[in-house]
Amino acid sequence: MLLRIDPTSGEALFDQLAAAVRAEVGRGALRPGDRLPAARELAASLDINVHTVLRAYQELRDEGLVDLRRGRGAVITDQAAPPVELLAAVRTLAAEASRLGVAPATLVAMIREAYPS
Amino acid sequence: MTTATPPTTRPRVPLTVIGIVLPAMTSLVGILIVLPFVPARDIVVHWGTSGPDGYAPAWTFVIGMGAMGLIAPVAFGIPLLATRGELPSVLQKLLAAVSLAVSGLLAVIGVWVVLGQQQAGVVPAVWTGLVPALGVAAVLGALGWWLSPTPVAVASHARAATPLPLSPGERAVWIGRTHLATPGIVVIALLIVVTAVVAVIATAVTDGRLGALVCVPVVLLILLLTTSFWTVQADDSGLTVRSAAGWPRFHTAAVQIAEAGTTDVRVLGEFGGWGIRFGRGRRLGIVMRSGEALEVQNRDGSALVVTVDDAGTAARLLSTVAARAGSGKASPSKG
Repeated sequence: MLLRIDPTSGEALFDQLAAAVRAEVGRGALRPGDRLPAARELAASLDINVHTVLRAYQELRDEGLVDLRRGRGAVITDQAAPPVELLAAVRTLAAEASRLGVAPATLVAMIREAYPS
Repeated sequence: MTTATPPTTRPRVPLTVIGIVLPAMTSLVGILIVLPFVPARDIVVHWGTSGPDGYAPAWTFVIGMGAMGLIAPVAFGIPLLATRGELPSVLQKLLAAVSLAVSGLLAVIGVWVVLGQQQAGVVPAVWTGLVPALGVAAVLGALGWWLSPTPVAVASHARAATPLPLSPGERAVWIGRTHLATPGIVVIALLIVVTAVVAVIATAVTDGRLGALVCVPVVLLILLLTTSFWTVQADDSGLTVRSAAGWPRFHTAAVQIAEAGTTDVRVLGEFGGWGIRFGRGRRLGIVMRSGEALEVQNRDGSALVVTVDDAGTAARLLSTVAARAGSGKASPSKG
């Protein structure tokens, strides 16, 4: 799994880290049952605070994407396997947005707006 | 039109046929030959340095022939089966030919033991069995070598990865895990259980005189934990490959990386087996399977090769990290 963060981007680091995990799940590099690195180790390799990592993991747990268990660490849940047809639809949507020159952030905002709550 | 197969004037028999099917058939033929001649008495089944020193009922020897006949096809067959998708290498050819030769040797000795002792009390001289057995083994070995496919020279060229674009302040870590194929782990685990049971029984039966046997499963367990499960990590510090036990641990510092790329590993052809392996050209391999692997060239001329999924991403990140380290651009301090 490739996890990247940019401390100069202004977005909160834990949000970036959580987004990076989501992206790896989307790419298929992380599958249900895979273990995320121990928070302390990940914090050391990315040179960030361990609490930042833990906060990202908690955010992912609240979404149901990971299971946090004492002793086992953070494990990707079955929810991480998105339906194939949804993936295809998202790819089409992203391609269309890119063709129309819609920025990714705008597209995300549009999806959030349209999502039935 | 060109075809992938080189022009050939002799038959090419698959390695699994030469190393497994033919040896098993050779063993079977040996048994079929002796079956009509098995005497209903004890025969000499073992020779020491000073002549015959082991006797057993003839029928148990025939069962022994069956068990011995399985040794070569199984011992040489497992690595051949595990690598049957690969282009043939010299080592695979050798495994197959030796498997056939060993089966021939054992079969001829078996036949000689039974047929040579048809008359009670007459035991032939050892050389009358050994010479033809070695002769048959040599012929079968040569035949196996001749029939097997031409080995393809190992031409391992790591494809250098295009660096992963990272903005100046961006930090990234790539983590992958790799382990020995499940059948391999199952075999080792079974060996540990069996040797542990044998050790406990042997210790109990001999009142502790064979207690040292307990070392065998313990050593196997240590080997399994230190050589079969690995975590591969690429980050600003470079490449770190570490076993599940935490040791051994191999590290190539970012400044030492000359080039990071991906390669296709052939287990037997390039490294001669699984585990922590040395290949030609100062390549250290953490070889868990054939196929996709990360290869990092060190500035000192050595290379570290790890078979791991998604190796391409790791190679791209390491290329970036190496370039950053080389240009002396330190990543921004903790924020």
